[in-house]
Amino acid sequence: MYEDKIRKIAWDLLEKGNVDFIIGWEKGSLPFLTAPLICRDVAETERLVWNPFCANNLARYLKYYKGGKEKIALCVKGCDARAVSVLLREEQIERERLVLIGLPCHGLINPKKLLENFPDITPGEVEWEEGILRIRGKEENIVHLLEGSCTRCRYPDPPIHDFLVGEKLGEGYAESSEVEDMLEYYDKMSTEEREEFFAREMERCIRCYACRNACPLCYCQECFAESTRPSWVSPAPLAFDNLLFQLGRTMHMAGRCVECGACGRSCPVEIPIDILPEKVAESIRKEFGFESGLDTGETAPLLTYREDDQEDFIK
Amino acid sequence: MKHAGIVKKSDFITWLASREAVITSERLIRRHKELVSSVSAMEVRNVKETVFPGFGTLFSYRWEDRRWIIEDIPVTAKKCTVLVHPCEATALNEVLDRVFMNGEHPERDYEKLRSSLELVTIACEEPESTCFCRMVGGDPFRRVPDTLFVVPLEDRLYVECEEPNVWELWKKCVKVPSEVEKEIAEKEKKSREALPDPPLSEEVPEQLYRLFEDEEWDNIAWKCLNCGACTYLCPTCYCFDIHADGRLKGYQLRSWDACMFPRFTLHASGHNPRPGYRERVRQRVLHKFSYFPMREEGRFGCVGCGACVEVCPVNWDIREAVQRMVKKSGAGYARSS
Ligand code: SF4
Ligand code: SF4
Ligand code: SF4
Ligand code: SF4
Ligand code: SF4
Repeated sequence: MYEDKIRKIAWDLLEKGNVDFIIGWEKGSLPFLTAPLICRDVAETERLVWNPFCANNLARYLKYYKGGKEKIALCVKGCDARAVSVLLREEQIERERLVLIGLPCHGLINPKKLLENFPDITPGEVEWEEGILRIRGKEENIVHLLEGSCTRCRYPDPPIHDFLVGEKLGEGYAESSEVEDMLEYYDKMSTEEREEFFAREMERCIRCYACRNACPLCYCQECFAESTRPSWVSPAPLAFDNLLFQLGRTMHMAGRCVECGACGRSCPVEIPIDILPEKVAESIRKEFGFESGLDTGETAPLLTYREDDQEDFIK
Repeated sequence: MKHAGIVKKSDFITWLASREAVITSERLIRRHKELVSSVSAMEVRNVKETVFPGFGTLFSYRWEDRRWIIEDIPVTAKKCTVLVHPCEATALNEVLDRVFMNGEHPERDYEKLRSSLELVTIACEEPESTCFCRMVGGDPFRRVPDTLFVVPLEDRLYVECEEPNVWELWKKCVKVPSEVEKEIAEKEKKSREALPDPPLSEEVPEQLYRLFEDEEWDNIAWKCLNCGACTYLCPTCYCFDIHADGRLKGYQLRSWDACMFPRFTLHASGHNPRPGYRERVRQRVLHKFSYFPMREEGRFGCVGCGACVEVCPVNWDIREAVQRMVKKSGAGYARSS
């Protein structure tokens, strides 16, 4: 079983003193949720879990250790590993300090969708074993229960890793999934409809910054949104300023976002905010042929300056 | 003195419809759509929005003829009937009121908004997996003072209050048959049993205070993202920020702030007394479970509604944090009643 393998790897790493701690997921306090876990002691590795509810992008925690000496083992899904790769490119952490436990990912189940499709379901009735989902004893197709970002996933396998637990999956759901997700829905909207959509959604935003704080790639010491001198964005959650914040965040993500959807999943008022950075990621893929976090050594398009750039606006 | 009565559901709904405005919380609608569906009720995510909105304007200012002209902008309040669960009513009545209306200097806007509300407490028959009101002195059938207490039955409602004269609805109430009394007592017992966490003991606030420097806070706090989801959606968190919008002309605004943000305690000197997640998470826990009750006659600053548990993106569960520290402190639980 994959979970046992992960625990075994974690145990060995700690026991041999190869790392100072392991970052993974543990069972949550509510049904169909997991929580990030840090294991400093071999005994704690028993608590590690791996299932389609491991929603947090754990690369997010690496910012705590910038400039430090700790050696860190990190459990990474495809998108978590892509985020690590961006952090490496941006010199936020050193490769030698990381041991990546790679986990080819079958996608995350959205707990809400699960409950809608299977009312009154309890955790005991959901079994997950090496990519096969059984609900109330019957094998089920996971596709209809997936998180939006997972229906769009193209890289379920961690592009960088030191261990790999499970078989490589190769393709994600992006090509095969028939399920219409938020981004496709958004694509179909006219400009006016989009404007209306964001006006409405930004009216609901409480500016809690959960989206930003859950993102593995938002690590600025001082976020432009909270700067007071000058103050770009009002601290009050006014719809216009909320949008300004999101547009700023989206632009800072251009060419960096790894499309993990962590921002959207964190929003306490359920604004599908991941569609903004993910839409930009899609444009960059189409316009520049660049995909973030694939460890190709290429620099991100929006982070380069070339004197011979063919666009003249740059000069 | 407690007065109890029975009213027809249709009479209750007619009474509601006759109120100037009705506000309910999201969780109440989730459970009792039938009570409010025919009334045009405004839905709030968090009950504190009714008295302490996410942002508001304090005054306007402008620089004119080489002097500042400042104009007061008081809030406008209209009479509202608010339907909520016991934890939410307690948050207003016993936490926020103590903060904003205690003593000689009540906060003007809060007082105005608060005094225009009448609260109807709807008992909880099905506590959710996030609920823990009993742990902090509450109860799913708590008769919150100064509110109309209601237990929805099949086609009737059981009602209780202290002052029948203030509730117009009372005219429609009849005496409670003894079998209904029994039914209520049974429901009450069942609902209470659905909440596994027993009440915390009176010593908890003092004991937790002694653990201020404990290393365990580091483990407790580690996974927290330091966002504002929990505090902004908590009905008892009351911190706010004041800021000017506009340089020579504009408004002074007040908006929610959160102790989870690094900038919350940042001094002008650059020093930050709560520099890391450890200090900030500790503040959130101790404020509610130690400082507030020590100052406010044992009233916990948390009403156990579980909103924070429900929204947290990393499943940081305040119950676990408190239980871990309580266990360490040796304070334990009150003998269950
Ligand atoms: S998480 Fe949601 S509510 Fe919070 S700032 Fe982001 S979009 Fe707004
Ligand atoms: S912006 Fe959102 S989708 Fe993109 S990397 Fe950050 S959390 Fe993931
Ligand atoms: S406890 Fe959860 S909701 Fe609260 S600040 Fe931490 S991560 Fe955000
Ligand atoms: S801390 Fe959590 S449980 Fe307590 S009152 Fe606030 S939101 Fe409710
Ligand atoms: S915590 Fe839950 S059971 Fe208790 S009063 Fe609130 S909603 Fe009801």
